[in-house]
Parts: sequence; structure tokens; C-alpha cells
Amino acid sequence: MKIFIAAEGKDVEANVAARFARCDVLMGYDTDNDEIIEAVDNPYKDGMGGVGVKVSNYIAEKGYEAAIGPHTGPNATNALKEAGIEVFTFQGKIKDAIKAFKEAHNL
Amino acid sequence: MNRAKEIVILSGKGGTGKTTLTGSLSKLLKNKVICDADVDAADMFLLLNPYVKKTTPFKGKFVAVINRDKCVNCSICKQVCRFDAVYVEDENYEIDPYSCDGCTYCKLACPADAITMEQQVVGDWFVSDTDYGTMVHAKLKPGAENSGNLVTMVKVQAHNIAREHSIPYILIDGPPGIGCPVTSALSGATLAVVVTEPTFSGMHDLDRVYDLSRHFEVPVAIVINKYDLNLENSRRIEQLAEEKSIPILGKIPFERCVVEAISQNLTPVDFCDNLKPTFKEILDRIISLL
Amino acid sequence: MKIAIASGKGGTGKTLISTALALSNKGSAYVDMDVEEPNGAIFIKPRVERELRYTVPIPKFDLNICTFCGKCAEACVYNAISVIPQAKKVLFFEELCHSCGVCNFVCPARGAIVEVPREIGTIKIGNGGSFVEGILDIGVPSSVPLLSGMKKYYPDNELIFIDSPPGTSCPVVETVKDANFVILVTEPTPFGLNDLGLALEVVRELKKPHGIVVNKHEDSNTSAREFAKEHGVEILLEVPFRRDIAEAYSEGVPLVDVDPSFVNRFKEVVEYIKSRVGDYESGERDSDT
Repeated sequence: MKIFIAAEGKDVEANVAARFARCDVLMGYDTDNDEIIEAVDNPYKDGMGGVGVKVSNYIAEKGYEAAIGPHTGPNATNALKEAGIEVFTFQGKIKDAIKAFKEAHNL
Repeated sequence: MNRAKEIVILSGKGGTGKTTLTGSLSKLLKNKVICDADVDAADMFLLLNPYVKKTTPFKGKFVAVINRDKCVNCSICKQVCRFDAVYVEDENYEIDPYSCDGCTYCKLACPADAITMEQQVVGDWFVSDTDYGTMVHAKLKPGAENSGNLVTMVKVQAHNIAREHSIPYILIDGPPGIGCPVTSALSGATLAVVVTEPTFSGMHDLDRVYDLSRHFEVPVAIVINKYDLNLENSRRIEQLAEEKSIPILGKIPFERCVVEAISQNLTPVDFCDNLKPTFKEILDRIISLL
Repeated sequence: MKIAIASGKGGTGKTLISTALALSNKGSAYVDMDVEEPNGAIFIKPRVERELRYTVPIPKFDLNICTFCGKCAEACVYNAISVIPQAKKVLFFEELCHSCGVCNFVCPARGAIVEVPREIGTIKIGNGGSFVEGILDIGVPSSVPLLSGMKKYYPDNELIFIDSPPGTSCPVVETVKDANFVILVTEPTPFGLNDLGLALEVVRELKKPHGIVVNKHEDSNTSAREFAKEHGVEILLEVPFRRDIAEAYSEGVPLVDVDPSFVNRFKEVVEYIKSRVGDYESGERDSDT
């Protein structure tokens, strides 16, 4: 399964970000092959407004099926719901988040 | 080290005593970074007397600028602009940066490619020393629009400092209202302390701030300021709080001493001996909720 | 002549002063631009004759015509549109929309976007047009479009008092930019004076003739007078800190009813402002005092 993670760093030892849309790193992870698909600096994080919309759009366009992160703001919540993308709330190390996500989905 | 815990002080309405509370807590809580996120009207510095160590300009919205050499005076920009930002002076087309909303319609519509968008410096943010800890604060230029951006910036900077020095708490004087700046202040917060007063507008705004905090699943606690101005309304607030399981951290009476303290740039904690225990209790309850 | 009454800090007495001015000067008009919390009506007690809903245009998407090219989303600087081609969905975020019209302009598929009205607030008009009030709907993020819309309803009275929103950002600039003179209301406290300083920067940036009214004044407290001297700004009036005024205010009784001696004082303030504006507009005097 291809999932998105709002991240603080570019590897699984880093933490899940404390802010969703304005996180430092946009990370993509493949749970089938257990590998990081991408980890890029978030180009939207300094935007004036509607950053949640932009990041949600990014997630949808890339085809991620779920998003791991902290609580999403009103815009991201709405956008991800409309796009049919599940939000899995988790705080802590990314590797632990992935583990918890897999367990919750019997992967 | 774990991420520092964020205590955000909010009020909804102006004038309820938010900054006075944050200032008082600054003097009681050890080991924290102070953050003034009320960037439209930053007042904390009056109480804490910061010594500015670093100033950084902050860029905000884009505004359209007409290149006079390329402009052919066709007036299309004026026709399409919905913000009345285009005016003519001495036969030259100009854009009023105060009215321009940065939408880029004029740029897209201009047949002569004469319009560019330029990002404006809308303010500065500062890192300062105070007797009570490091403080991160900001000042917007007059008339500038505040979105969540500058608030986010001061919070991020506060976290950087907290991480570097292993400081466990960040105390934030939040912006008033319920718009974008408050959303940014709440996002990632550990506890929202809402200062309210026993008036109709105070109670109304408490409701709105509470709803917004709930959306972010940030726990809320209340301080009732000037509670003895209207005991009936204070009781109403307490009832409401009980119904929604919102803890009340304390009730501060309306006393002249507070006004006198502030007029001397001091907080009630420095000046009003009989109120000091009330503020201490508020702080203790805050810590117990984190 | 349009006189705007503003203040950097909320709760200093802007409405107290602006309504007192309106009630003291017969034949004047009062416009309440504090659209998030208008309470001038409590004191003016107008006969409301007309109420209308104010709208702004927002896009509506016809997904049968839309090709999901995404140009509208790309062009929207406010991030109010999200296009998801694989789901054949277009998401529109009303609260982020600024009604600029760009999406409509760039859309290549004719008819895919049309503009429809969105209600953002109410405008009330009374007393034969000399009372105007705006109220912003809850959930609307910016009051600026409503303020801009209210200006069409400015009456043509010779003297108009405009109660502006508190603070110093966009809504205040929008309100104050058409005024001939700005009265800044403050209280003699550190927060009040600090925020007055911010408000002063705004009016000076906009090159508006201005002056201060000090509310809750006490003879023993000279901080406001010192501030005024330091900043080279004139104090037009000092309203004393009096319990009867404060109590009356909390019950909706205007200042001029509590103490009719203020009527003449407010008339004098206006006469003085007229001469200041005259001097400024004839070039005899700077907007900065």
C-alpha cells in the first residue's frame, strides 16, 4: 500500500511531524516492499493560506491511499475526506507509526 | 528529547486580560521559551523588557507592480481588478499596494506582459533575551495582513530554541479572534487556555474558540477574569464548563491593583500580593493538565 | 466630511465616542463598520427601515463540462480549488476564496465555471439612511469585502461618523482610507498607548489628518499627554474615568444622556476637526500634526 507521511526528517527514525500541512518533509512509503518512495522538502510549508488544500492535493495526485500525521486542520480534513484518503493520526517515530498502521490494517 | 509542550493562551475577544495572564505565567513558570504570537498588537514586550538579539525580515503577500516601460495604457488591468487597486495618476497606470489582493488577474490579462508580482516584506520577527527566558516575537508593518504565516514562524523558531536548550515548555500569547492566525496558534498545541470575562460578548467568543480548539483536539481549560464584575454570568460560564467537561483553572477578581501593576509595566504577580496565590494555582493546574 | 473613529486596541471606548459624536451633531450620519461585533445600534437606537443580504461572487463548477485540466487550481493563489482528475472531482473551499475571478478567466472549457452569489453578511439601513450597520456572517474569514460593499450605502449627509473595526490591519485600512480625518481613541495604559502607536503608524502611512481622544482619563495619570507630546499628535478631548459613564455604557445608555454637557464638547471637537481638514486640503498644513 502506498501511504503518505507528514514527516520531520527523511528517514524512518525521524518523528512524525507535529503539524500536518506545514510539515518539514513530505514522505511517501510503500508498506508492501517496506521502503521509502520519496522524502522531499515540503515546498508548500511557508504558504500564506490554504496550505492544507495544497498538500492534500499533492497526496491525492501522487495516488497515496492513506496519510499518517498529526490532527489535520479544517481544510486538509475536508479535502482528504473528499478524495477518499484515510487519515491515520499518530505522533512519535515514523517507524512506529508504520508499524501501528500495518497492525491496524492487518498488513 | 521530546517535543516541548505548547501552552497557548487565547481569548477570542480583545481586552479580557490575555496578555496580563501570559505575562504573569511567564514570571512563575521556570524553564520555558516565551512566544508572542499576537503579532498584530504584540504587547508582551512591555511586561518582559526584551533585549533583541536577532531580527529577521518576514516576507508575506505578493502585490502586482506595473512596468511603466512596457505598459500600453490599455486599461484592461483596471477593468478586471475587483479590488479597486488600479488607479491612474498623470496618465500612468499604478497599483495601490494596500488595495491589491495579489490575485494576479491583471498580470494574466495584461496584453503587454507589463505586470509582475513582487513579494512584500510585511514585518520582522525577533529572538530576544528577557529575565524570564528567551522570547520570540514579531511585529507586522502598519496595515499589513496577518495570515497564519508569521504566527507559524514564531512558533517554529520557539521550538528550535526549546530543542537546542532542552527546554520543556513553550508559553504562547495567542492572537485574538478565531481566524487563520488562531488556527496556526492552535495547530500542534498541547493545551489551550482561554481567558474569558463574564460579559455577553466574552461568553459568545469563548464558545467559538472552544469549537475551534476541539477541532484540533487540543484540550481546553478556562480562566475567568474579572469574574466578580458579574457573578451571574460567571456562574453561567462555570455551568457551561461543567457541561462540556472543561476544567476551570481559576477565577481572577477585578481589582484596581491589576490596573496599577500594568500601568507600571508589571504583572499582578509582581505587584498584588493577594492575587499571587491565584496565579500560582492557575499555573499548577496547567502543569497538571499537560 | 467623513470622520473615522478607530483604535489600536479593542475595548478602549471607540463605540462610546463614535455614538456620542453622532448623537451630539444633529443631521450627521453614523456608519458601523465593526462588522464582527457591531454595537453602535445599542446607543443610537435607530429605526431600521431596510435590511439586505450582501453577496460576493464565487465559482460554481459544472463537472459535465469540466475537463479536470487543473488550470483553475493552479491559477488560484488562495489555494481555494483542488482538482482530482482520477476521481473526477473538483473541491472548492469557500472560506479561502477571495472572489477575484481568476479561475473563471483561465478556464479553457467554456461554461465549466460560472459565478454565483455567496452571502457573507447583512447590511441594515435606518433613520432615513443616516444609520448604516454591517454584520458579517459567522464563518466568513475576511470582513474586507463586506466593508467595501457597505461604502455604496454611505449616505450623503454632510457629516458622517464611521465606527471602524478595532486593530490595525486590513479591515481598518479599508475603513479608514476614504476618511477625511481619523480620531484615534485610546486609554492611558501601557497596552492602550502601545497599540495607539501602531494605529498612528497606519494613519500616518495613509496620510490622514488625525487626533486622539483619551478615554478613562484621570488627572493623576499623565501618560497619555506625555505620549501625545512625544509623538507630536494632538489630544482633541479627554473623557474622564467615571463610574456613572461606565455603568451607563454597560446598560446601553449613551454618554450624552448621562451627561449632556458633553454635547457641546463633541460639537466643538467637530468644528475643530473641520478647520484641521480645511487646512490640510488647502495645503496649509501637513496631515502629521
